[in-house]
Amino acid sequence: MELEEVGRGLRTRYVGRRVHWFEQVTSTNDVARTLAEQGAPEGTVVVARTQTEGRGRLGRRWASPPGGLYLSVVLRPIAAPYELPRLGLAVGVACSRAVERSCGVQLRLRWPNDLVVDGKKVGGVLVESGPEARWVVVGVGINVAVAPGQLPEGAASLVEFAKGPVERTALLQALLAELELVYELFRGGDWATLLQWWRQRATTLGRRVRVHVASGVYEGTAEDVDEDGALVVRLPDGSRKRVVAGEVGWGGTTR
Amino acid sequence: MSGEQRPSLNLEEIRELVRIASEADIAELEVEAGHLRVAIRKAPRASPAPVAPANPPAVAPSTPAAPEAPAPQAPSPHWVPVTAPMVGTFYRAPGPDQPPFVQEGDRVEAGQTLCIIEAMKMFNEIPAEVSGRVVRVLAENGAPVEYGQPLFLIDPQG
Repeated sequence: MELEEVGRGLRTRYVGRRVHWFEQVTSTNDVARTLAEQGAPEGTVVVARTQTEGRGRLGRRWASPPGGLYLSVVLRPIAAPYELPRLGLAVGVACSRAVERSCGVQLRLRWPNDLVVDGKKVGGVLVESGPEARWVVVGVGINVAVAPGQLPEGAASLVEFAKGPVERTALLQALLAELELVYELFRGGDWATLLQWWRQRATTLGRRVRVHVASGVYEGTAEDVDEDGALVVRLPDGSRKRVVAGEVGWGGTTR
Repeated sequence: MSGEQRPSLNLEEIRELVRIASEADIAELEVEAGHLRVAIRKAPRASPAPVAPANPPAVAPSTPAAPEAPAPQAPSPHWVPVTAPMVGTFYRAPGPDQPPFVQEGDRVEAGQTLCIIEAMKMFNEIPAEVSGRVVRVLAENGAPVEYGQPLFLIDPQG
C-alpha cells in the first residue's frame, strides 16, 4: 500500500490528512495514544502492516498478522464521557459502510461493535479515551486477506466473501471517509441516524443471547439498542435488562 | 464544521442531569459541555452526622481501655470524591495482568488516571480532579458502576 496513493484518492477534510505508517508496531492504539498526548491534531491516523501486541477487550490479544488492516485515529470530540460509547457504535457503522462500498461485502455488527460476515468475525473496534476525553483513539482491525491458519477460530477474512479482489488502498480510503462522516454525525448530535444505521446492520437483535457480566450469566432475547447504545435484553420473566458492558454470546442458536 | 464547537447541552439533557443528580447519592454535579457549564447542587438534607451516639453504651468501669488497632483514618469532610461520569464496568488496572493505577495511600496529581470505566467496548480513563492522597477505593475491580457513584476519596491535604 502506497501512502501517496492513499492520499491522492482520499476525500476527507481532516481524517487521514496526517498518516503515520509503520511496518510493525506494538499496537496502533498505543502509538496513537502517545501521539494524542503529544498534541497530534484531530484526524491523525496510525496504520501498521502488523502489530506485535494488538489488543482486544480487557487486554486480550488481537491476532495481527500480515494481510489485515490495522489502524487507529486520533479524535478530539467535545463530549461528556457518557456520550462517548455512542461513538464506539458509530465506528462499527463506519466499518460496515466502508466494507460494503469498497468490496461489496455485507458486514454486520454484533453488539457492541464486532464486525461479522456470515457469522464469522472479520474485525473489531477498540475505542479508548484519555482523562476528561481530551483525546479519543479509535482502533480498527479488519482481516482483509489473512492466511487462514493465522486466524483464531471463528474468524475469517474479507477475501473469503468478496466476489473480486479486495483493494486495501480503496478500503482504507473508504474507511477514513466513513469514519469522518459518522464522526460528524456524532458531533452534530445526530444519534438517531447513527442508531438507525446500526440497527440496519445488527446481527444481535431479535436473537437469544447469553450475557456474561461480572456478577454472573443470564440469558434472554436481545430486543434493541437504546439511546445510550446499551443492549436491551428481555429476560425469561419478561423484565428488561440494559447491558452496557460484558460479553454477549449466542444462546439457543448456532453462530 | 471541523472548527466548530458541538452544540451545548439542550434542555432535555439538563433535565436528565437533574434527574440523575436527584437519584444518585451526590450533593453536587457539575457538567461542562461546549461553552456551557451546568452545576446542580442539592439542598442539604439532615445528614447522618458521624458523631458519637448520644447515649453511649455503658462500659464496665473496671474494663481497661483496649489497645486500639490502627483504625482506618476517619472520613473527613474535606475529602474529595471521584465519581463515575458514566455507567459502565470499573477497572482499577489498564489490563488484567497489570498492577492497579493507584492504591490506597498513593499520592496522585490532578489529571492522573485513577481507573478505567468500560461501556460498549469504549474504555474511558477517569482522572483525579484534585491532587492529594487516595484515602479510599470505593468500588471493586470489575464491578458495574452507576452514574455519579463515588469511586475514590482523595484527601487534598494528604
